[in-house]
Amino acid sequence: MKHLTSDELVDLLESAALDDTRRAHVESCAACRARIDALWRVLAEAQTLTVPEPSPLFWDHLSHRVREAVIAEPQAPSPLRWLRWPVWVPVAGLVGIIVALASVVAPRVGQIGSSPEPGLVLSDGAAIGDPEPANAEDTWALVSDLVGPIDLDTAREAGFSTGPGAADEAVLQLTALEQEELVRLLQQELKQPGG
Amino acid sequence: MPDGSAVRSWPLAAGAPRRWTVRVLEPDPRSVNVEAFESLDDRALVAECLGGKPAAFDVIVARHRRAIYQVCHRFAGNHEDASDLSQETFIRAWRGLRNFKGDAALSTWLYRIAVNACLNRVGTRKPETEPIGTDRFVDNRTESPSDGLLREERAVAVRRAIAALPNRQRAALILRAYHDLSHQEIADILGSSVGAVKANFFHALANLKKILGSEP
Repeated sequence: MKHLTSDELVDLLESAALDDTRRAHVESCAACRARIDALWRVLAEAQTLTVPEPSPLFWDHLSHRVREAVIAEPQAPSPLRWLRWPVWVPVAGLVGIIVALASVVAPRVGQIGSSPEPGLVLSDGAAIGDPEPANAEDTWALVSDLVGPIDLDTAREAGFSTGPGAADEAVLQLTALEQEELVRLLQQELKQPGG
Repeated sequence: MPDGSAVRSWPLAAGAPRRWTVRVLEPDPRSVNVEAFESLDDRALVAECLGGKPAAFDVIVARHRRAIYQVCHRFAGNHEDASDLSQETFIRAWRGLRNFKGDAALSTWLYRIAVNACLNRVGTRKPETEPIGTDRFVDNRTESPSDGLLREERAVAVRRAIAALPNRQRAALILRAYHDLSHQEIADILGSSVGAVKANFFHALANLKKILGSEP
């Protein structure tokens, strides 16, 4: 007859009932009995190992440490717990950068893609300096009102000065067409009397 | 306030002496008397915790800390790591309390967290075992010093053999032999089938026999 399987050996080890035919096999099979005896001895030896009892003060100390850690956590465990400052600060920063980029790029795209009249018309049909959107006009009017009466010295004294290389950087950020147009405007200004 | 209570003060109505103020101590929900929760079962305690009363968690910790510490000690083999792992288990449990569905006993759920924490920690380094002489509660009054030494040496050998078992076998052995959990409970904890648990338990014993049989 077939020897006991590992499942049956475990069942027998734990005093679980085997059916009559299997039990009869164990009674007649010395090999199966030897296996079960060996497993039983190992298990009994393993079970003599005890965990050393810690100091009686340890249990309260453990509870205290857990309590402190729990108090340091948010008031109640929340499913949105992952949304903590280490996550939302970078996300907020990223959103800020995207908004800033959008505010810089969108008007430029709007200018290039807008009607050429009555702004400057470039060779490929793109317009520069076209104050077409009403918002842009209002914004420029506001900026003009604010800075109009301020001369350069007053602005510098008020701290409105650019850092070294800022102008170069601003020029480098222009597209090739914009740079070309800037050169043309500067040359035009220089040709004027007193320029 | 040292007791964590909030204080609200305001002057009395007109006519009362000005120097008097009424002070009402409002109990901080975190400092609610733990005794109020001791009669509750585990599921009710979890509900209290989720309802904003973390003091109920103190009772959960007090109720399960010994079993969790022991399972951690069985894996880690020393008090310091067992202590850290126990703390980590309860903190993870607190964080994941909303994930406790109540399908199984809270103890089973805590065991699962503890076993995962232990396997993560212990799996990254060689398990340590406490030095000889830490079994303080073994009655050895009738044995000779040499017998005692042999017994302790054997205990160290058995611990080392258990520590050398593959993780699943070790977990099955620890949970079955020392914590008397059923195969079904162990399967729930380890995320496996009853058949796999039985097989792991059998192989754990067979490997122990082999390792200990080769000991001098």
